[in-house]
Amino acid sequence: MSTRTSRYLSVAASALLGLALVATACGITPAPSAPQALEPQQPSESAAQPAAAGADAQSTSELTVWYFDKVSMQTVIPLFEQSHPGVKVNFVEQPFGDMSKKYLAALAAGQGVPDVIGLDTSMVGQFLDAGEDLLGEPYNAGRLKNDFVDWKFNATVSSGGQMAAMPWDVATGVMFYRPAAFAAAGLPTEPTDVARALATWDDFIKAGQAIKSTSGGQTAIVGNEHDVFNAGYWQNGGNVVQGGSIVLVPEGLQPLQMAVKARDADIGAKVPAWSERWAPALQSGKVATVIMGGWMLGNLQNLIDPDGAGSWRVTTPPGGAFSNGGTYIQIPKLADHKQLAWEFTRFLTTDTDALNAVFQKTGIVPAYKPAWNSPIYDQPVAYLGGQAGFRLMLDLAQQVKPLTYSAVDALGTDLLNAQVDAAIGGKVSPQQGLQTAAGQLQDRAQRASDLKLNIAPAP
Amino acid sequence: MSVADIAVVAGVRQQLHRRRVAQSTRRALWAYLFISPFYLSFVVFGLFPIVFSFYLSLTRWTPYQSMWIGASNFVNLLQDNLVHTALFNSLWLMLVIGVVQLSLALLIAVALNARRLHGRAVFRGIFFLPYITSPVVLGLVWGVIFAYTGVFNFVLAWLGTDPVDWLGTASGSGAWIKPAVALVTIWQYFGWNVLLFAAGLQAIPAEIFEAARIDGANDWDVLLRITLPLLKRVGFFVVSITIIGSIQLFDAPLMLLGGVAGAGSGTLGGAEASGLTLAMMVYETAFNYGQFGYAAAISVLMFGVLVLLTVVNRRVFFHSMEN
Repeated sequence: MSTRTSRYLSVAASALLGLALVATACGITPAPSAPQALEPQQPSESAAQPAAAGADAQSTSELTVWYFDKVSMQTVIPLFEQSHPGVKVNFVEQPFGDMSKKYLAALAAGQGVPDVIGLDTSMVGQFLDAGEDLLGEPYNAGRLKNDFVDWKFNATVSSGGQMAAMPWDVATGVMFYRPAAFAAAGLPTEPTDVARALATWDDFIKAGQAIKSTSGGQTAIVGNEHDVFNAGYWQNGGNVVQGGSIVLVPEGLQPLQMAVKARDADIGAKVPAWSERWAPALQSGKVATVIMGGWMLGNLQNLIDPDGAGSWRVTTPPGGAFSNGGTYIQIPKLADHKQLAWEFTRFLTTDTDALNAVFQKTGIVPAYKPAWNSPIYDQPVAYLGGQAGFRLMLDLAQQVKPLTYSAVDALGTDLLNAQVDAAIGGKVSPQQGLQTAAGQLQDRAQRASDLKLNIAPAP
Repeated sequence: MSVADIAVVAGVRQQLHRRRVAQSTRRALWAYLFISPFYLSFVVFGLFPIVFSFYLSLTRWTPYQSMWIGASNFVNLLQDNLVHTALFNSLWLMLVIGVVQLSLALLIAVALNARRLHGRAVFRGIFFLPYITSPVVLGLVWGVIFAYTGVFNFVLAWLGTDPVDWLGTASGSGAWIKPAVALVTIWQYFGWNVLLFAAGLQAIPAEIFEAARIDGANDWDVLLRITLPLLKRVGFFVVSITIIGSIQLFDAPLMLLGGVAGAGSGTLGGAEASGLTLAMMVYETAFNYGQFGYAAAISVLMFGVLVLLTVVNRRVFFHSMEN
C-alpha cells in the first residue's frame, strides 16, 4: 500500500511539475514583433524644445543605460542629471565583448532590456530591428539631420526610411605614425608631407619596404597585411550588404589584392591587430603605424604607449578617408522609459557642452557638427608632439563614403575575415576568397534567417 | 471466536493498517519535501532548458521573430558546410584528444602506482594543476606560446627550424590549429584522468596482485592480465567523460582563436574554420548572429552525436567485459 501511495504522490508531483512547466512555458514572452506605442507626449515638439520635453520627462525619473565605456558616460551623466533635476540615470557598464550578446539575449527573452544602449558600429547592424524609429513620432530626429555628418546620420536609416539609432561620434579613420621610424628610413616626418608621400597604398608599401630594410627587419610599417585590407575595404564603404546584395566582392577585391601585394613585399610584422603581441609591438616601436579610427589616440595615450608622448603624429591615411568604429545610441522598442530615453539620447548626441566635455576626456569626436565650432578642436595635442590633430579628423569626417548596416554584418564580417586571411596566406586568390565568403553568407542568411540576398559581382 | 470478535479484530486491523498508511504517507511527504529543492531546480534549470531547446530547434527564433518551421533547421544544417566542418573538427579533436590523453593518463597513473615511487602525492598535485587553472588564463598563456612570434617559434628558431603558424594568423592556413587546440586540451585535462585512473588502481585489492606474483606473473603479465581488465569500469567512465568533454569543447578554441571581443569579431574557428567546434558554432550562431533556432538545432545535433557515441562506447566496454 505504501508503494501505491508513493506512486500516487509521484504522479501528483509529476502533474504539479508538469503544470509548473506549462505555466512557465506560457509565461515566456514571445520575441518582440511590433514596437510598443509611446504614450502621447507632445511628440513633434520633443526635438525642437528640449526644456519642455525635459520637464515632461521628469515624471519618469529612472533611466537605465548600457554602454561599454565608463569614462564617457561618467562625464555626460552628471551633466544630464544636472540639467534634468529629479532624473536618475543608472549606468550599467558592460564589457565590450559581452554587451551585444547580453542585449541579444534580453531581446530574445523580451525582458531586461535597457532604456538606452550605446552600440559600437560592429554591433549596430544586428540590432536595426530592435530600435525605435527615431525619424518617426514622437522623436522626429530628422529635424536634426543637417547638423550631423551626412553619411553618419544616414547609415542606420533603412530602405523603408526608419532610423534605428542616433550617431554619437564620427570615428574618422586616420594614420598614427612614429616620425622617428620614418626619419630613420629617409621618409618625410611632417604630417602634411607624410600624407603627400604616402597618398596611395602603393606608396605605403614602398615606404614599408624602406622602413624594413633600413631597420634590418626590426621595424615594420604595419602590424599585418590584414590591416591594409581593412583600411582599403573601409575606404570603399566597408559594407557587407547594400540594397539587398552582398557587396563583399566589389568592395573587398581591390583592397585584398593590395593586401596580397603588401604580403609579397613583406612589409608586415606578422602581429595581428588586438592580439596579445600587438600592443607591445606598437609600444616598442616594432610597428611604425596604426591605421584606425581617431579614437585610437585614447588607446595609445592611456593603454598601449602611455610613455610615448611626442613619439606619435597623425595624418591622412593612404587612400583617403574612411570610418572605423564609433557609437550609435539606440532606444530599444522594449524600453520602459522611451520619452526620458529620447531626452537622454538627444542630450548625449546634440548637447555641445556635453559632447565637448566627453571629447576632452576621451578624444571621442562628435558627429554633431555645431560642436566642432569650439576652439578645443584646434588645440595642440601634447601626445602628438604639439600637433593640432583633431581638425584633420573633422575634415576627413566629411569625405567618408556612404555606408549602410545590415542584420548580417557580424556573420558577414567573420566569414570575410576568414577568407581575407586565407587569401593573404596564399591559400586562395582574392577573387576566389571573397566569392566564397559571399556565397557562405548568402547560404547562411537564407538557411538560418530566411533572408534572400544576391551576390554583387566584381567591379 | 464469535462473529463480533472477528469484526472487532478486523476493525483493529483496519485501523492499524490505516495508521501505517498514514505514517508511510507522512514519511513519503517529508522525503519528497526534502528532495524537492533539487528536483525543482533541476526541472527549472536543467530539464526545462533541454526540452525548450528541442522546441527552439523547430522554430526560426531570432530576437525579432518566433516562427514554427518544423524540421527546416535540421534539413538546412545537414546541407550547411560550416556545420560539416564543425562536426568533423569535433570528431577529429575527440579522437586525437581521447587517444593521446587516455594513453598518457593511464601510463602516468600506472607509474604513480608503482610500489617503490616516492613523492606520489607531489606528482599527482603537479599533474592536476592545469585542471584547476582558469580557461581564460590558459587561453592567454597558450596564446603567447602559440603566437607566430611566440615562445614555441622562438624555440624552433633557436633549433634552426622554420616557424610554424600554429594559430593560422600569419599564413591563413589552419593546418596546425587542431593540433594546437588538442595539445592545450590534453595538457589541461590529462591530470584529471590520471586521478581517476589512480583511484581505480587503488580500488583493486592488493591480494590479487600478490596472488598473481606468487603464481609467477611478471610486471607485464600483471599489467595486461590483471590491472587493465580490472580498470575497465573506470576506463568506461573516463572514456565517456572524455568523449562528452571533447565534443563539447569550447573554451580552449575560443580563447585561442576568439579574436577581438565584440559582435562580428568572432573568427568562426580561425583560419579555414579549423578550430570551429560544434559547441563554438552553437555559441556564435546564437549569441553573435542572433539565430537562436538554428543554434538550438545544432545543439540537438550535438546531443544526438553524444548519445550515439556514448551508446557505442557502452556497447564496446560492456560487451568486452561480458566476454
